[in-house]
Amino acid sequence: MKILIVEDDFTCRMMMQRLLEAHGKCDVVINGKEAVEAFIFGIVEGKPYDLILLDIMMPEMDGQEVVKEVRRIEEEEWGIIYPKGIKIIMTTALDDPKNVVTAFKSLCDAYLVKPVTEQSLIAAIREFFPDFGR
Amino acid sequence: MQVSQLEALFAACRTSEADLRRSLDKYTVFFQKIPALIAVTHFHDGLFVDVNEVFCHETGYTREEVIGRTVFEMNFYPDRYKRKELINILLQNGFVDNMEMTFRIKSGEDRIVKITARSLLIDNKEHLLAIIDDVNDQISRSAELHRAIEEAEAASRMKSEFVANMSHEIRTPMNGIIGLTTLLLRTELTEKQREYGLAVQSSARSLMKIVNNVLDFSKIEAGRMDLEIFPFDLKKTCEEIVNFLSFQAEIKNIEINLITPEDMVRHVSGDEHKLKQILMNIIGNAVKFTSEGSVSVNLKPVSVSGEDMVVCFSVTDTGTGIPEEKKDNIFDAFSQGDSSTTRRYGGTGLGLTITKQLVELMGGTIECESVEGVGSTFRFTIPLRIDAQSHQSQSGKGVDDNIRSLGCAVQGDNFTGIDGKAMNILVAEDDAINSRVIIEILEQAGFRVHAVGTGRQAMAAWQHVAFDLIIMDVQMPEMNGLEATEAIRAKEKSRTCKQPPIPVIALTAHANAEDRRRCMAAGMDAYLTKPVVVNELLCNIRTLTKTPHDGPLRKADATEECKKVSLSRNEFFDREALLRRVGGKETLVSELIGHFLKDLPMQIEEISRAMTDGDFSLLGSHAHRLKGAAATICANQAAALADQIQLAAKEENLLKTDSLLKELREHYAYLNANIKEGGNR
Repeated sequence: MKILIVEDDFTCRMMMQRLLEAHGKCDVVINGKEAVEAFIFGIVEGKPYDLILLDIMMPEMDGQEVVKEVRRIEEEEWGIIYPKGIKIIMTTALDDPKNVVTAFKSLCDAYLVKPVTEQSLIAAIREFFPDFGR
Repeated sequence: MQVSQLEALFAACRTSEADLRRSLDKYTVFFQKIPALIAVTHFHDGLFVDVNEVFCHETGYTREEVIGRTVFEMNFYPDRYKRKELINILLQNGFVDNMEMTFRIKSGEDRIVKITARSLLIDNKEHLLAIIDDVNDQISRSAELHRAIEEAEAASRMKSEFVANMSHEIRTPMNGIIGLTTLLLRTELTEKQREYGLAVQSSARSLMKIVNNVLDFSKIEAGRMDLEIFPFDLKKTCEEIVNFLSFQAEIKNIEINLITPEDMVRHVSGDEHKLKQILMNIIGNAVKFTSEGSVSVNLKPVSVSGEDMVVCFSVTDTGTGIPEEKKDNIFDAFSQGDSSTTRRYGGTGLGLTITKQLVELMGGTIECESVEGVGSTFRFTIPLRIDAQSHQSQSGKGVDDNIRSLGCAVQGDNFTGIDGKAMNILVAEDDAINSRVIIEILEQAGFRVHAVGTGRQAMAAWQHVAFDLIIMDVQMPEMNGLEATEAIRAKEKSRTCKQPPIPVIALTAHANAEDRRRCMAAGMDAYLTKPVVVNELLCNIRTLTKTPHDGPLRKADATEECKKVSLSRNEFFDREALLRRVGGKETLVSELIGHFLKDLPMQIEEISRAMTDGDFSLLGSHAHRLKGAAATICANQAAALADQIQLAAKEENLLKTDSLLKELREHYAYLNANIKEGGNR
């Protein structure tokens, strides 16, 4: 299991990494642009990420744009059509209707409102990877 | 009696004795020479009475060695009980035909034989006549044939497997080429460089498509393609494909139509991905080979029995058609109309082969009718399962739970609007008992409730009465909840007055990611799974109506929200809550707090700098980041301050921001002193 944590805040980043690193390989990037690049590099190296935990409000390309870009690249370059492809869970403090609907419309897989807990994080991941952390 | 008479009598006797001997000799010769192994034994003890020449020849024994001894002494049957079995069957049925057994001959070799046996009386004693057919050669020949076929199949499978592995191997470097080209195109390039980059990308995409086709083909051949059965919306899937291809059709100026019966079952289970692949190929081909006219796609359920349904898809085009002599092998691998077709239209020539294999893998059939120059019709059937979530079975379970959940007290929240009047809620639910339960919950909580049973009625009610919120079942007759919500959202957009959109809570039987996405995409604000739990329902209503900007919540979040309310918000830092949040990891708590406190002054500085620069948008995003971090470690006071700074930044209120920032600085000093102390405890 390979996880990409995309989060611009140091404390949040660290908490998620610490909570998940026992269950899978966690890489961390701090903005949307790096996230898209890391996602592509994963495929290039033959070790694609299974999951992205994606913050929305970030400098250099926000999370909403990342979802769109990742799904576009998946479909156009690799013919991967949703719901196949990488799982994307939004992890954000934004819980207004517009952001939630936009994220789902861009084909994210789940939406977690911060602050996240170990329990909520693992439960959300288990929806897609039932054996996660067991 | 006279002598002459006696002589005549003797003569006659002699003649008949000679006749008898002659005839006996004749039958003995018959018996000996018949080209089959024949043995006569005593019925019960198996004592050999006679055997013929062929028997001797085939077993290697002489008559003298055999006659007078029993089959057991001779060890004819390696399995002694086999003869007993034969005798039993003979006693039961009166005959034994072609019973297979093993027979040991003189050399010690075991032969497989088929025995046909009858019992017969000779000299008033029961005997057994056995005709033995040596099938050893036959069996070994068919075994050999079998092995040869198996070997050939294995070789073919191995080749397919090799191709599958190879294609997979090819994809790895292809991933590199495609990925790196994509990355390259995201950098700043000159026009020329971009042009070349795009050319590489386009070639790489074509190659990838071919490799994927070959991979699919060989995977199916190698028997490595599995079906992945999930529920999906049949009509929507077809619409997606048709919409996708309508772009190409539009460019070529041809029409593309999808016709589905009104009453067709939409929610089915099957391999959606493979169905999409099939549709994409057949409809894509129709568009590709049609230069004027139209392509029409027809869906028709041909048989429905219980939960099983077979759907017939037919795709008709007005394209080039298929020449008579090619019709027979269009589904064969690597065959296109002719090589000039390949040049004109491109492709691997695997598309239809894969399509046929996929259709068959899913348990369907495919056929094609075509007239050259007039057009083609491809017809295929796919068996699907009707999604078993009939209302009866759902409500049966749901009601019980609902009534139980009614038992829990409705907490003393006063559900009135901002103006103090009781709020109006529209409930659209077709199941009478479920509807009753929800009305009960809502009325107890002080709402005014209006209930309807279909999506169409919900639409009508919404148009005539000003509601504060709608609770909408997703599955309803006559326009379902999704369609009704879409219609309402469309109407809201076209309305001249700028009223805020009405909050809609979806009620779904089961909520997987796909369902949730559908609800959200239809414009719903939240969703609840049945059976409805009182607290969840009320929490969602509270969030959606009292604080409009707090909008949609996932189920889990609503529960979280409920918990948050019960927490004391005045605590500036809730260490216990943080400990719970990270699953009781003490060291992580200390670590997190340490990092937060180390990071906080820097964050405050960034906010301060953005404020000095007058960059409110940057200020807002810094404050937002701080809010996230503070909320994460349960530094509630800091989170609240950051939240207010973010709001002030939105209002571009410099004064307010400044005073809040001061407060934040003081709070940091306070936190630094107190939390550290707490951390050491």
